Amino acid sequence: MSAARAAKFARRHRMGLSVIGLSVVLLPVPLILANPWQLGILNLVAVNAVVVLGLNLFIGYAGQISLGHAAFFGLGSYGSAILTTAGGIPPWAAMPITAVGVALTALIIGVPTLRLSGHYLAMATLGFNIVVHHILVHWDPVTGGPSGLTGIPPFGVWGRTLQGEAQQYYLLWGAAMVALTLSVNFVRSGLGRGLAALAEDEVAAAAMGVDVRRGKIAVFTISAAFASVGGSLFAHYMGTITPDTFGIFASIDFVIMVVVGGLGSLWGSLAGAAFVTILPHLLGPLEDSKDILHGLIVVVVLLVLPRGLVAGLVDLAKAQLARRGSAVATRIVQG
Amino acid sequence: MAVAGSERVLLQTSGLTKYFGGLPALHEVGLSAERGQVTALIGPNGAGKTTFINCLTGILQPDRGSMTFEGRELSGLPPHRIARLGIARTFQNLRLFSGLSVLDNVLCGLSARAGDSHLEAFLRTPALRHRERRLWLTALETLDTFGLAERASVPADALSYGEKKRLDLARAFVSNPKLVLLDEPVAGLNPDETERVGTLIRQMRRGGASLILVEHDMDLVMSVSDHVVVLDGGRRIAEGSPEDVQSNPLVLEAYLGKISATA
Repeated sequence: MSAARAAKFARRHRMGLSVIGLSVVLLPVPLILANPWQLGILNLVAVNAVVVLGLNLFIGYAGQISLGHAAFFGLGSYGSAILTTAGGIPPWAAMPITAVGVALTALIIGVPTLRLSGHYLAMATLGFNIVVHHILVHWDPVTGGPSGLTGIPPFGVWGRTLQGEAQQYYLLWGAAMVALTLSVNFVRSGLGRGLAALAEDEVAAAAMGVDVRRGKIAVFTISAAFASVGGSLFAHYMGTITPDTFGIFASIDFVIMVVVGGLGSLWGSLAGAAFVTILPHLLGPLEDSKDILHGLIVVVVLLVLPRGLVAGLVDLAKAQLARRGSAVATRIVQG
Repeated sequence: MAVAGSERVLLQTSGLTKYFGGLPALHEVGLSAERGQVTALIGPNGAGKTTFINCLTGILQPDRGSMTFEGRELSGLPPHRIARLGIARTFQNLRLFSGLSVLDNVLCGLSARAGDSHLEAFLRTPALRHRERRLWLTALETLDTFGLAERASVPADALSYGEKKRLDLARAFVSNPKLVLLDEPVAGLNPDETERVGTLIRQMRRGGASLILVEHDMDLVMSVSDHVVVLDGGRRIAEGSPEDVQSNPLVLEAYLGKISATA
């Protein structure tokens, strides 16, 4: 009886339990991995994961394309940096204020550009990123120009500022888990299904009562807010930001993370962020050829695992099991 | 025959006109569909039947004329607003969400009713969970009615053609709409499957559904319809009971291939 209830509970809260399970796995990592450099890379994975989760809602679920999310990431970073350094506002307040500002920017950009789709939308978002990058480089008095901004304060918890990679790790991965939970919830709502429907067929989705235009603008705005929060986390974690981090190649890297992780696979987004962030560091001397390598990875993933790392590997495993299962069945039948 | 303003009339169009590059796809089409009845719309290929449905559902904007649904003007409304008024439709070329599961396809048919706010969706509040559960049960019940319950978790793409046609119907009926527009629900089906869809349509009508049926299969039209409207070359050339229409010389002429005035 209680076993049946436990099973029912597990089934009903499958997603929540999965997130908790992953958190439990992530919890002891700083204790095991004492090397601050390695921990630093994992911290960047968490930052990227927040951006990629939001971007996956837009690209993977709603079936749109953005080659401009590094701009929202950058606006989040600079917004947070400027509010804390010049404005004297604490990071915990700067992050949501910036996110609202970036979301409004995305709304203003989204209303005209989301009339476009496919290549045109890709070009429009790419153009937006170029404009933002240009402003970051050239508006010296505010953005510090090419050398960027320094002395950005770290987050504080209960009056004490976070110090060291391990403390940052818990903050950044905590944020990534919150982002994961929110996006997993979102895609399982009626709104999430509406996005999946409009990605498949806008005319049919509208005939089911889905407000296609509003849905696209909303998810674009939401994904920009995710990117902005990722940017704030990044700025307060690094302490120093420069415009280079927010160029169009960063946007393309985010898209690569989404694709490698799997379009529409939120768990895959974590894997994609981790894979693309960690890989160049494993290559050592080959690090200079990072861009070439990223390109190659995407080609290989799309050819071999078109549904992305996580879903693709699960499919492979299932196929393998099925093959083994049928071999067993054949043996039983023949025996 | 239709008494304007009568409570029985659910949908009424008058003078509905749509041009495609100067050619009339619909010309001054008046039609009224009554509550709880099956109104068939027939005519040879190119008569304007699908154009008519596309105008009613907001996919196309008519150039002239009016369409009122429960006394409310539809022209100018975007498709999702029309859907939310309680008008559902199926598609001649299916347009299923092929990557989504059969269950999710039907759940999408309930989108209009979900009405989640973004905050609720992100937090997955108890109220939303409760609502999701009810929608889920409704969807499963509808799949059962349409003989697709066993296929609920399969991607829509993996269904046979007959099953896809039934899924398209299930997706339209799941929201318990006030009016359903069926665009060739049995096109391409074999006689057994056609009979099965016919049975479902009769079952829905008995359950109180109001339908507009566009169909070429005359046996189906004649057996399920209460009222038949015949279009040819974008014009309404006849209307009446199935028996009246079958013996109308204009209809025979349209179907037997004499070139009509506007073609």
